Amino acid sequence: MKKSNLVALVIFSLAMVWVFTLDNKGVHSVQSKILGVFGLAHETVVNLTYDEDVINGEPISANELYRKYEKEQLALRYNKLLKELFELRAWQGQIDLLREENIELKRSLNFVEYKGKQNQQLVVARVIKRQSSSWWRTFIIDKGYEDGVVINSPVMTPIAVDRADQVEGALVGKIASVGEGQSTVVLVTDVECKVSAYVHGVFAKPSDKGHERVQGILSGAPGAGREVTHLLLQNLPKEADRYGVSAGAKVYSSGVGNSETKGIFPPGLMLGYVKEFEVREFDAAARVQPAINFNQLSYVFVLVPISTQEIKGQASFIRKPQSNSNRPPNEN
Amino acid sequence: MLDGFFASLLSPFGVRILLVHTIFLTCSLTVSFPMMLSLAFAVGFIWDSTQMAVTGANDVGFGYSIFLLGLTGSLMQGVCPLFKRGRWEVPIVLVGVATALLITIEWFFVSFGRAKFIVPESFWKELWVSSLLGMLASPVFFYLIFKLSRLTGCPILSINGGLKNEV
Repeated sequence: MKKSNLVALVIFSLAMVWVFTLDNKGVHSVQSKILGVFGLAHETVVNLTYDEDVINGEPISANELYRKYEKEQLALRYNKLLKELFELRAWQGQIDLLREENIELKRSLNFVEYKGKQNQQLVVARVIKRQSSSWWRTFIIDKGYEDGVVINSPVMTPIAVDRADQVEGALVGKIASVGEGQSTVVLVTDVECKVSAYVHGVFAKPSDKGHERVQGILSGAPGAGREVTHLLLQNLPKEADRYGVSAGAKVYSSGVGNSETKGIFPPGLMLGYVKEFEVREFDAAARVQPAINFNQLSYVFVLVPISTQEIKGQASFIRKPQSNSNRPPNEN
Repeated sequence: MLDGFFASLLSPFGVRILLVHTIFLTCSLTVSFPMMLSLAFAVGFIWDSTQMAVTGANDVGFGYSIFLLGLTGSLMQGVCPLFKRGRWEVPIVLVGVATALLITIEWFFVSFGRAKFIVPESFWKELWVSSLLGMLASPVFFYLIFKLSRLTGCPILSINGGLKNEV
């Protein structure tokens, strides 16, 4: 092989290696430079060979539009299209809203069927009033004793489990006062609303009675609001962490009541997830992330006693819980 | 420009003519080996720059045309002695063979990149039509090269110390 050919081959190989090792950025830079040189020729060919692209008889090319219409006409067309765009966006918003509502209603339907199988009667209620001053404590629903709602009736909402059509109940709160067609619900985010709860899948040491659940009392955290969005699970055994209570564990209502009041919340209602765990001097406490978003409650379910006829007329008209002394008896 | 024109003209029939490649193949016969490699690099580089959309997930790497042109150009250089003697038929056939080789290697690169060797239905049609069109177009380019050489007085072949055009 001639020396000049060999040198040319080596240079060619090196140049090829350089090209192959160019990163995307480098390639784009080179391409933009070359396209800058060949762009004009390419555009000429495209204009010569391609038919004018049109949609509904209107050219797509901006240059064609500019040639075809006057400035005023273009402005009119622009405003018209802008209006159409806003209308379409508004429709899109409506559709999104309806889609969300549809999902929520489907979920609710599944929930009612699910509870029906457990011989539990639910009343669907709409949240009709929620004051900013008591946003994290109470709201008013559109169902009262006419519908079978009684004081301390648990209020819940369905939440999706794994799949959207599989639901379970999450506790919202309980009825604090009942009127003819309205009731006040006190939320679990309220410090005064206490729920006996257990940590799912965690057991204390085996005793004579078998495995005991790790239980405590759940309530709203002091100062609940935008800054404090968690619940407090207190009175847990000090050894709870050794039993396996850790972040992410699910917390459910246990249905246990104290000596004075029978447990008013049914067992197995989802309350939230353990967020943080803390061992204190005499007991342990956990911060719990609520299972539901209390800001987005529009429909809730009230668990009413089966024989509603006997209970009708028992409740008083709405009385809002103004102070602690007016609060209904809390579960413990 | 011409390549773009013919590409859009033939695309409705599902075939393409590799005009740039054909021009390169015909030119590669008339220049020295180092010049052919330079030409392969320049043409391949410009071709990939203008035709390839580099997205980071390409089937073939940027610059693969340089390799293909270098390879087929070297093949064309092999029939230079015949061309010098004024025999056009073998170089013309070789242009078709080189075009077929180009398309086949390109298919191989793409299939290798996708790790899936599938021969599309249109592949064989494209292969023989493009090769045939290349073969048909190449005499025109040979003629133009000779004409240009006569007009400018430049030697066509620089193999073996530079041979003057004898046609």
